Amino acid sequence: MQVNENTVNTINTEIAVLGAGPAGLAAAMSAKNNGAHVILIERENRLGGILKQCIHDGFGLVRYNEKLTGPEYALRDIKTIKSLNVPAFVNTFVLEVEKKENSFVLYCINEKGAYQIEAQALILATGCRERTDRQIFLHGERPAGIYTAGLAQHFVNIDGYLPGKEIVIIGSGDIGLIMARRLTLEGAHIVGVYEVKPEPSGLQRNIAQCLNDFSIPLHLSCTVKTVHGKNRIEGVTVVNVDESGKEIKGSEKYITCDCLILSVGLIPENEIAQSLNVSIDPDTKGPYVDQNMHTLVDGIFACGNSVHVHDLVDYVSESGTIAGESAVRWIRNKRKRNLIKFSHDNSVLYHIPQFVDFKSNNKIALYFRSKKTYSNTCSVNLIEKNSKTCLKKFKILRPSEMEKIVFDAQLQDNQNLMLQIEENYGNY
Amino acid sequence: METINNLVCIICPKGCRITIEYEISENKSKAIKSISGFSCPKGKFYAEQEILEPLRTLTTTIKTSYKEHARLAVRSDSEIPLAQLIPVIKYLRTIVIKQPISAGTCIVKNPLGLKTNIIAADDIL
Repeated sequence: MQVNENTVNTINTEIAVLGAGPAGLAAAMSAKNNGAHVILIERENRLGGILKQCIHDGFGLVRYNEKLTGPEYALRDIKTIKSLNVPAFVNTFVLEVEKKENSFVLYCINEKGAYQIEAQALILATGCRERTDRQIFLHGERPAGIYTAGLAQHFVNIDGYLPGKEIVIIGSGDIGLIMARRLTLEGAHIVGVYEVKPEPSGLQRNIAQCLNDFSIPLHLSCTVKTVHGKNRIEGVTVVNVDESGKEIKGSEKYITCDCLILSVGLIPENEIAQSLNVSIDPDTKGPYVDQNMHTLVDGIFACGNSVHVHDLVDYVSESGTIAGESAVRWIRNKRKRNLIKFSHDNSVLYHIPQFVDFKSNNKIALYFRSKKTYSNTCSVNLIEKNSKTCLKKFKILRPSEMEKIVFDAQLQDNQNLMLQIEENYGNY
Repeated sequence: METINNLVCIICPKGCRITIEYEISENKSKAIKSISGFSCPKGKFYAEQEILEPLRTLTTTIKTSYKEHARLAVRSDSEIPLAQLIPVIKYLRTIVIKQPISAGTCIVKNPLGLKTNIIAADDIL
């Protein structure tokens, strides 16, 4: 492509994919495979998103039935994107997106110049962000040495720096657990992982292989209260909490450390979606979508962790594939959707999709998390007007583990749906 | 008879909880008597191996001479004893990648005499 450095370069395409992590790569691939002209836009210098720094293995078990490392998983998609000749703009930042009557105009910039990209449909694959120390109740100083787990992972795996030698980890999210192991292998000492809740928020297998393998202590119902240190962090005060999450007076303990790592959750990244008035679900913090990953704004699709935070990359790719093929179908016929609300009661933390396009395909891939841990057999029910259908039974359900059910929606009329988890006390 | 309850299987995200009963003979070798709670053959094999000698895949990074790609992700092409992870990583710190490399290429054959190879998990082009 001829790039003029002094003017804005205008490009026309059918579909623009924002973000080249696993969701964006899958979306671009499936859009291209379905015959559309597609452009991929990525802010970083390489394709692959967060997978580049996730050097541990365990990716791809669902999609490939293989245990791959993050870079290996990404590389498979990157090679496909290259063989399909999908134009990928790296080091490119989207400044603004404007909605026109029948298209979207993206104003982008990179080291070669400015671009005005006009697309008929937009696929948001912008991933998620980490919650920071500003978003949790942490008192005291803000010296150097406080990092989010993903940032620490970037330091170690991409840049080759160790963020500390005597490390406290707050929160038991998966990235924090993975980093506890990674930092131990690189010679740091993990003083402990402190989780405010009575149960860990990461996967059980990560507790086993990241903490237990290296005898790293996990303190439940215990959290960091105060940070100490002027220039560099010198220590933290930890405190036990009761069942209601209230601090137990007198249980405070001072712990010496030179680094504090936060693994306290992820939030979908939706700055661009919000600028386009895409409605956001307060439960997932991502856009409301129908079963085709179509947001409530016609022509804007979303996939991956920008919709809700996944446990497994395999499902991130899956949602990208759905978004890609749906976007192509939509730009080809621009059929008006007939959306019905798919809600849940308070037994469910959140679920996807929150809407069902009544006239579209009836095969619905449902993803959900339960609100609490169900350790007795329970059934996940779909409630329609007058009927209750059991979609699937589970022996155990945990909020930390996302479940997937594929079902055929026998939609008789324009009737709202509701999802519910029902506990069957030892009936099975 | 020794019993291990709730051994979390790490083969897949399901995380099955496995119970194993075994006996330790006079020469300290372990004989497995029963395994339950697994839901696939891989899980049963994992539990057996976990009692005899835990094995893990090693994943780490190696220094490179490329400014834009300062670390190369690498892995072992088979599982190695858990106790050998740190010694192998220490050994890999002595290596610097100075040429382009593609994923799957062998970097170190049989590190510390182990029956495994360290291979690139990413490309440097």
